[in-house]
Amino acid sequence: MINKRLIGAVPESKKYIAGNVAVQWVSLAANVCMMGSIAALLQKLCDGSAQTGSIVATITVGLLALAVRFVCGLAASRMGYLSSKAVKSTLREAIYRKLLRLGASYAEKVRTSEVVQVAVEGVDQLETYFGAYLPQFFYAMLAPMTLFCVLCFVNVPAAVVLLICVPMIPVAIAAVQTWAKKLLSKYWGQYTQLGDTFLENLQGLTTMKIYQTDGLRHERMNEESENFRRITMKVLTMQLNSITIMDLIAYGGAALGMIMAVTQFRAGNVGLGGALLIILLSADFFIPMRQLGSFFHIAMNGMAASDKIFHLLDLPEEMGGDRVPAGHDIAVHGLRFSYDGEREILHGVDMTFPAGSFTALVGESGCGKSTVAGILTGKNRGFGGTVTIGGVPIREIREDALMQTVTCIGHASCLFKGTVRDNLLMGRPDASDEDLWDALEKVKLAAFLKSENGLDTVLAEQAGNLSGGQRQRLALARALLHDSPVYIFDEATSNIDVESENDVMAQIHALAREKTVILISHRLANVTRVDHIYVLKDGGVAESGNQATLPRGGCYDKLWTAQQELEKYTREARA
Amino acid sequence: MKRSHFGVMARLIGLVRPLTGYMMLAILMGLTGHLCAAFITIFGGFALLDVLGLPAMIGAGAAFVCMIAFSAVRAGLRYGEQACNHFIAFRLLALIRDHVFGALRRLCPAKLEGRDRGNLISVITSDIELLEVFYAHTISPVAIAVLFSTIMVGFIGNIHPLLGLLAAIAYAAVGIAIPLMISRASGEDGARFRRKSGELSGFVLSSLRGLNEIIQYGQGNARLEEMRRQTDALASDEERMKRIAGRNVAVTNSAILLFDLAMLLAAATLGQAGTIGFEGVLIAVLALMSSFGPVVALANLGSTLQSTFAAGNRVLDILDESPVVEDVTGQEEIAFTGAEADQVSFAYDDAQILSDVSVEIPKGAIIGVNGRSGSGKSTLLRLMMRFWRVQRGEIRISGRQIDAVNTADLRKMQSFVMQDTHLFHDSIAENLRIAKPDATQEELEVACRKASVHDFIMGLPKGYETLVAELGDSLSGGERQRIGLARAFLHDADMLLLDEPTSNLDSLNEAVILRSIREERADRTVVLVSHRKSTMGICDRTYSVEHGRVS
Repeated sequence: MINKRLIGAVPESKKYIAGNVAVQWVSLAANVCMMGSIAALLQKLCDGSAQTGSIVATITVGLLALAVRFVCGLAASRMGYLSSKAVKSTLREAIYRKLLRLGASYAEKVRTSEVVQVAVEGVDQLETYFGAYLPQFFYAMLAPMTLFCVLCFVNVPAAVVLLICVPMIPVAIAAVQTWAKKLLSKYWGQYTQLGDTFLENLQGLTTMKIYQTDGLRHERMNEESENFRRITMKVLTMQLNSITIMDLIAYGGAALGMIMAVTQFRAGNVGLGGALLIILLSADFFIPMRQLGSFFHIAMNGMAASDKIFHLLDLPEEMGGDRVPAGHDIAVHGLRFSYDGEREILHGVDMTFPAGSFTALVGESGCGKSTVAGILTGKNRGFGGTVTIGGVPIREIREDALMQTVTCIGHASCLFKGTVRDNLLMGRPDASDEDLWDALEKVKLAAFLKSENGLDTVLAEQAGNLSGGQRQRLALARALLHDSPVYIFDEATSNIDVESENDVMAQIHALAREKTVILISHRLANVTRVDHIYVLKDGGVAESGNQATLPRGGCYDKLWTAQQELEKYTREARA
Repeated sequence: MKRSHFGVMARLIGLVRPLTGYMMLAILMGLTGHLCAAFITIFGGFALLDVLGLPAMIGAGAAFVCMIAFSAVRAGLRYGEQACNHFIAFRLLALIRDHVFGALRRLCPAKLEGRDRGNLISVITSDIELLEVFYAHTISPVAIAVLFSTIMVGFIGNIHPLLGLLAAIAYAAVGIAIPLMISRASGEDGARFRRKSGELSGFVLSSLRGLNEIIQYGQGNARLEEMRRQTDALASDEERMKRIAGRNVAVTNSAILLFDLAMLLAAATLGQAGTIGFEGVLIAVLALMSSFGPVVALANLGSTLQSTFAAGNRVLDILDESPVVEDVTGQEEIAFTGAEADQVSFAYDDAQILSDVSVEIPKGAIIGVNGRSGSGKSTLLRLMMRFWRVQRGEIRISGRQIDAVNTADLRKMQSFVMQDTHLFHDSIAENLRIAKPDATQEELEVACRKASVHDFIMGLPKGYETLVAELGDSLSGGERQRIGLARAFLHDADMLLLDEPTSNLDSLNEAVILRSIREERADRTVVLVSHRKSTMGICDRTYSVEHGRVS
């Protein structure tokens, strides 16, 4: 239950964990003094030798011990805080740095949802692991040994009996742990699944209501939770068994210790005060271990989270190149790519995108056009064939240089919570407000933002307070500010209203006059005015040319006709 | 609505009446278990007294047997109590979810389609989890502590009433006064800290989700810098929170020790005065020392109590809220012969959405409603489904005012395809069966052929049994919408309402959908809402909506 590498990952927490254990130990010592004094007083009360002074003395010792324990309690919680404080920031930073090092192609190696889970929940779990579990782990070892040493001076047999019982708790825990490891993952899987059912039933409630199946789903949800309860209770039985064993040992052990104290007293091997002290302290032998046992799930979660974090941190990093593209001609030869190593998406594609050219990639969904964009922007790494920018193989280009050369705008660009200014400055950190307004004018957002709060307009989480079209136009403004020589638009207008689509398209065409632009679009009407069109089909270039030269009866022509036919179809329908 | 804490608590307890028996059992076992634990030490004292030849309730030998028995019983009861508590917790969660889901079924979709829908759903789910804590870890500990303390006060009071009184004060201080003090001290701080730390988590989350953009614009280090800044900003709050929490624990522990000492002082003084014998002194001190367990369990409730009440209040609000529209029943069943909106006006909060909109929908026609986003055209569809109620004017189905049409009949008459099709974490077949639970495989296939999605589904590894979750992002918008359309076809309704069904689709996908609608609709009446003029091509008649008005 102790992972050296994990502790090593947050070295500054070590001293706080040690400090935590130390103050808890001092507190224990104060308790022993207090109990000793109480036991002594009780003995005097019994044999009638007690004076008012001895009562006062005991109360004084008690109050002193109380003060010490109060301070120790504060200090222990402070130490717990300090040891966990470092954990969160250190680990989150480590994770984030790792992702940045993995770079644009990170998504090939690890799922975003997994990273989110590790970096948010996992790190929180480790915080408690460091703050609560680890100190308790060491204290639970130290406390019984200390009490044993103290009680040895009082009565050895009783002390031995108590000490022997203590290790039986971790043995019981260990026995459960080997079992629990197997079942816990299954149990949590089902648990979260149930939570999901409720959540997604809420999300899909409108759909259910439309078709009047909400009642049926409701019943099924109740059945499922009953099922889940049955399974989980079965699984839990084992864990409950361990709690029972733990309690049996803790209370049975304490009872045995007390019985030993009384029998030793009867045999005359220990005085009344000594026997009382054993009775008063025997429970303390077991409390730390029991507490440790109750932290069991923290430890399990912590171990699971640390496994995931280290798995992430151990992912191999591609050796990035350190070259800078010499020009902006892009050439692609014999490009092959597969996401899973089995199904090949691209089967040897040849394409060129000369500097300053305006090129379109078209084709039905699934033909591989977005994959080409992914490769040109470094998101997809493991490809076959050659891809060069300005004659330099893309694999040898330093990532930040590639990012400064190629800007990609997808269909769902991410905007960040914060002001419009913050979001735009990402594109060009040294841009003046004038530059920002200029970009906003180009994407026809200026008027809208002026009616709001200007550049200080606050965006909600994922820019939820903007419409899809506004989001996309703002993302375009940010991209324009980036001022890179190459732009790739990957279905940048597939998700937005007609007005926004027209604005964005107009801007793309304007941009194409001065930059290299690669436009990926399903709407052939958008690509009629480009210099060159590549038509992709089944992972290969089926045709290339432009609106005038592409062959009649070919793929492009068919697609074009289909779209024209639709218009005709709808026109005819109207007539 | 604002309720008193007591009112919230009483209502919440009322909700779980079916579990009263189990709750009592858990309380009984917990109480007995705690008594066993406390009396192990007390019987140790009796055994000692017996050896000393002083009056003891029980002989040393019998005491030994009892002590061992108590520890075994305690362990067994602990098992029973835990098993009972887990049972209660699971049933509770199911029960509360059952209540809330039932309430939302009544309130939906109006309630869930408002502006803060996403927020509402997340609030509900986290509130319910908080309530589970309240039920499973608040009610029974409180009951156990009260009963246990009463018994112990009686036991100690039997030695001397003054000592009993002291014990009562001790339990009340540790179990009531201190938690209340803590609750008062930490109420606001806790909420603020949780909010700020939620913000930080949100920042981390968006830094991860937006990693592509952050790498694209070289903002990695700036993001890290900001993350560090926010963490530091939070640290001072966190430090104070933890300090308060630490102080609370220390105060509780010190209070316990203080009362132990007070009991020792009081008992010793009475002993010296000869009012009670040594046996009384010893047993009173041991009894108090070993009996704080149940009240300490209450000490930590203080810090969560405020948020529990808030959560309880919100959940009760949902349970109490009356729906925007009540289901209509008991009206004469009607056959669909057409529909119309007659000078319909509708406002949401203060915003006027529709003004004097009239649309005629003859049976068998394809009617288009075109307009920019936010023009109110989607609202018109929702009014036709009676998700909301018309504020002025009338919507008529088969010539009858919509409020006089049985809701069940109305649903039978209508299918609805939204801009985004919601797919459940289930197989494709089950997702289709949402629209018709008893549909045969053949019916599913017919509907999917009509929606041009059958071939796609057959190409999947497990065909109709493929789990949607396994497909993940590989299911394109077009395929999702076609599944949505297949659902609508499967639900054999007279009226097919489509709200921007193709706005996220490419032209070919759109063509496929529009053609399916036009050619496979049989004699269905179609209302198609879209911002795209091109989509309107298949319509027999098109209405344009601008700023809530038909033009």
